[in-house]
Amino acid sequence: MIWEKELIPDEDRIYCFVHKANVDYKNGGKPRAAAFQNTPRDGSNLSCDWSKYSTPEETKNRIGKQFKANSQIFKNPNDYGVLQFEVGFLRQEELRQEIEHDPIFNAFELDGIPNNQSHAIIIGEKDEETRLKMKEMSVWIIEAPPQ
Amino acid sequence: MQVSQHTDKFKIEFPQIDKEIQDAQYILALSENWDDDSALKISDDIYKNAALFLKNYTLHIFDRYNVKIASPSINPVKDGTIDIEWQTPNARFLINFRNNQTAAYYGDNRSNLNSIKGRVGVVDVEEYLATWMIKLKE
Repeated sequence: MIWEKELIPDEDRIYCFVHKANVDYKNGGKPRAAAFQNTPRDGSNLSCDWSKYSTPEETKNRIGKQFKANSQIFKNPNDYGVLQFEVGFLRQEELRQEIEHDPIFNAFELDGIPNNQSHAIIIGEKDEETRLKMKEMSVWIIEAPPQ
Repeated sequence: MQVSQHTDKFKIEFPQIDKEIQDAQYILALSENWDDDSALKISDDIYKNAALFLKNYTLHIFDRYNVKIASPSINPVKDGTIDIEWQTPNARFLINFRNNQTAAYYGDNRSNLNSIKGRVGVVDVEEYLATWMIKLKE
């Protein structure tokens, strides 16, 4: 089975997970602008999940099937919150971002890289303007863990 | 002597910002991969530049315009850089320190009006930026 790439409509939503290290606990537990960097750090996009194929809870649980960077240790889902964005907002001209469906499928699922039909990517440079505005428009759909 | 007076004045007039700078020293203790997603360690120089910028502009805006700007948050970024971020009722401003020469910034009054964006040297105070940062008053 291979999942085809689909067009993601503006009115749909995407979910991004945010590690607790990128939460501003001093100021009401909002995500820091630092959370909206591309990943990996020298990459050109930020991973997310498309609401058509994932619930926020599924997005959070799936984190626990990913390895921490440069290790064989799984990430702890309890270290993360999940943010929601409207796709149309991210495609506004001033943010210069594109959202593409990018499903992940391996016939033999690899440890640390779970199959994920909902996987999508937010493509584009995340400069200071973009990061600040993404922070402002994001909404916790699953709150970040307590500090 | 001058440096000491400069530091004392800052601590007296801006205890909250001074505390934020001190608290942010935890950033220097973060080891690589601090976000479980390949984040880089942050250098002393980046921290010092960010702190110097914050002190210089805070004091300059106070001395020249008699305005006390609000306390920002100082945050680590996964690419080994540091953000300083202000959120006030009237404006928001983000500046990112990534090397010894310049920092990149963006600010607006929360409605895309009076926005400012660019790069600035990290050592000398630029008057155009100090003037804009008056919007960040307490």
